[in-house]
Amino acid sequence: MNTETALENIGMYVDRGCLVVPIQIELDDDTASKLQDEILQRIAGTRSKGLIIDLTAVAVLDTYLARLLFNTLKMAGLMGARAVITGLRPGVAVALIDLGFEPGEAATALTLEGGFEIVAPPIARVSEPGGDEPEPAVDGREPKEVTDPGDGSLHGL
Amino acid sequence: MEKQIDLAALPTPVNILWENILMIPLFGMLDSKRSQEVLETMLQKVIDTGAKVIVLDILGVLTVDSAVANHLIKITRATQLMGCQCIVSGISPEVAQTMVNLGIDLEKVQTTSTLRNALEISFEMLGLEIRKFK
Repeated sequence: MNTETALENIGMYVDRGCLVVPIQIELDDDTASKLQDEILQRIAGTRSKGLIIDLTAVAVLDTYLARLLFNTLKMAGLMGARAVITGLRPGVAVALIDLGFEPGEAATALTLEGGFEIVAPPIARVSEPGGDEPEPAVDGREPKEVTDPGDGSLHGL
Repeated sequence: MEKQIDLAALPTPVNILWENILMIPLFGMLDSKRSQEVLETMLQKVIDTGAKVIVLDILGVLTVDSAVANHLIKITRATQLMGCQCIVSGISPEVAQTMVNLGIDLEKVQTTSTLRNALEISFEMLGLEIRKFK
């Protein structure tokens, strides 16, 4: 499978102002690196305020790829997007820790929804064109206070 | 005969984006000398205008290495001491990648990719909102 087809198959999409990247295929180093480029370009292009990398479908993850994905969170952060990794399977998490992987300050959540709670865009008080009144939250939901303890993981309840 | 423009010799332009919001675009290299000059200009402007937020746009800064990052951290800390928040905007995907791969940590400095995002954050900080009137 060449890189272009692989990237197309990733199927990232934007929901509630956040770029969601569900990893559902095996990534070789080259494709992974291109994926990182693609994610960051998309964030710039769509002006997403959030990034969610979902690993629910990932059964095997080596430290190189894990490091690359967690680094992508940091890069998105520098670009002003809140970023989180969701759905890391317990077996994969244990294997990574055993291999000496350190997530650092990366935010994580158990589920995709938990991820949205972390990265849901802050209350933006700018009316959409054509709107009559300013919405309390850009996506129409009530704003929620979610704090990231900053200890590396936030397991959604 | 073409005249070379020495970017470093140009004075740092300070734009007033909004009341209490200043914007400074940086171009080229951010070395110690330039960084010192930017810092002095910014602090003076904070005193002159009472600005609460300064957006430092680095889209035109070609290399962001650890030296540049340290200058940025220093600038933001100094303005903060004077009651002015500093937001660094113009972080491109390439710069974001370089910084993380080099292990550069901007600590608590707030960063955005676009000037628009920085403006939105500035408005939020000042409790301002934009409303469309009919």
